[in-house]
Amino acid sequence: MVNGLDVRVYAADQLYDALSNQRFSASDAAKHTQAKYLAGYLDDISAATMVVEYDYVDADYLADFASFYVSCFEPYDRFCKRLHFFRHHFDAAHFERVILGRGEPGDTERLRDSYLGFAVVRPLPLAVVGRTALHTYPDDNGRRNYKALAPYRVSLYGIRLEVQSLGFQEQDTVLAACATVAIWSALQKTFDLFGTRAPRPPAITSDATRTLIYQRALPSTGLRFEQMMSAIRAADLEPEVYEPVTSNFVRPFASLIYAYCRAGLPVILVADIEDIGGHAITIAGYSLHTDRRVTEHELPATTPELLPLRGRRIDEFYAHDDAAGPFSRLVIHRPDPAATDPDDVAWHTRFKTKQWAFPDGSSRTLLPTAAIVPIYHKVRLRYDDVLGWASRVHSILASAAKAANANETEWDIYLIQTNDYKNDVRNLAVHERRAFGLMTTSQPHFIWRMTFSTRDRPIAEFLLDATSFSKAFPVFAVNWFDADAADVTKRLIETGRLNTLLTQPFATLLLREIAQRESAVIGTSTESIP
Amino acid sequence: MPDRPDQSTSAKDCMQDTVSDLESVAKMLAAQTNTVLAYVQALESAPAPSDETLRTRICV
Repeated sequence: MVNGLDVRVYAADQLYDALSNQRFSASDAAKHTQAKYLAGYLDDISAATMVVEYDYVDADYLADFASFYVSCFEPYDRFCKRLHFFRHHFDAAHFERVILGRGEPGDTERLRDSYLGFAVVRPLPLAVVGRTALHTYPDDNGRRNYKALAPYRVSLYGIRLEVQSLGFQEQDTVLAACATVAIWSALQKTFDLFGTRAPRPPAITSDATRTLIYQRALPSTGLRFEQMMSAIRAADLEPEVYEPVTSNFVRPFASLIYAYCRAGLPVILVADIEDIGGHAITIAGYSLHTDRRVTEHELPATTPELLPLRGRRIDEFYAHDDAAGPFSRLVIHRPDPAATDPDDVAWHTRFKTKQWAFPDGSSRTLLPTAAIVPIYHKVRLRYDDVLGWASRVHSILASAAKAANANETEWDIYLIQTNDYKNDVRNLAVHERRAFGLMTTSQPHFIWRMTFSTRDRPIAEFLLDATSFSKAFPVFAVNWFDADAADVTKRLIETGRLNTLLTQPFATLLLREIAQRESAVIGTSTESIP
Repeated sequence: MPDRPDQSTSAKDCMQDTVSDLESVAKMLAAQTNTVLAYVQALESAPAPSDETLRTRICV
């Protein structure tokens, strides 16, 4: 400590020491699951320096304190520590000069550039890891995609810092169990996306247990699924729920999670952990490969209708598991099909994570109960509905692609906001008049975007009004990227045999969009292209 | 922003060879209509979460 500044070379033992308090020793921290996870994570993201900020007033912990701890006989402290992590080395003397503005030019910028985030340390006997926002892993050439991130702005002794992350904290099993913490993490991002409420854990537990009461609310030892939905509704969002299997079909679960996560929406996964029980974690990202991770024969025989979706290229998700740490790996687990009961249609949606292990070290299986997407109320069209429209046109496009000798096809289906879509249009392979029309025409705020591609090129893109509803006709634009496929599609539709499959409005729209594309390319059209 | 160039002549030739009879392709696709529509119907009428799911206790 120099002039009241606690600046340390980062190392695991320094982290454990900083996490300690009078009721929780550094050796306790060294055995604490979340502390060990944080130590490994900080090593991985190359933390070099740690600054310990004392007497920090953390609003989340203060809410916990005011709701519960202050009324305990034991005198718990209301102040926290906040640990800040940096990628580059510096000492207390250097840091003091930066604080006072007496450093070299560029010192403050360098500090900002190397900031890796913070972790609040709660003065509690066990659940010491409070609100934490840490930098993500590098993207590994675009494979790792962390989409549900928000800016966390920090003022450290007057120096403004920022990290893109998603808030994490461990459950204290007093104000919050895993379900509350999973919702809290998700609502941090929806606040950033939609401006909706982002209540603190005690308020989430209170909202969840306001009308659905199965036991005392506090100390909280967990929530039921329906209570989680109540808490999400109380935050001005709709809980869009998807079970992996229904009585009629199996959902392509990885593609479904991707479809929302790609839009920056966190997805809350409720899963049954083998021999343990129900758990909730918040998915913030995914690992997308350039080649398939699931082959055709691995798909359940009972679901031949499944489309070739982008989720087949995902091998793991990145999730906030409060029993482990931020952005922990959730590996999609696909057992040997030959050794699996073919009637067990849910087998392909399981996950493994090394944080949940048997005593012998082998990973337990996480069997999803459901995914909950806390979504803005105006997004009404469900993923299921969108999949239906893709299914109607899939066989036609697949035939058109096959005609051009392209057998390996893929659907990329995800939610997007119009501002993001219009930004993407600049790079879209369409005629400039078409691009101009797309950018200048009013669109729904939320759009489902479905792109059909072959291995080497996109064929067509469909835009669906996400604010519409399932019985309406939501497709409002089709962009054709491949002239041959467009031509074959037109000729197939003109046979008149596919109107029942497509519906008349869809067939009409497809023909109109193909005609407009042709006229734009030839340059004979005088009408504007929407 | 220029448009994508049209596909090569060889791709078009290949397509014309493969899809020599669009009518029969359309007939084959139309034959799948009921299967696809049954799936679409199942998707559109997906049931609400089961009572078992709603009552699931999340407490790990």
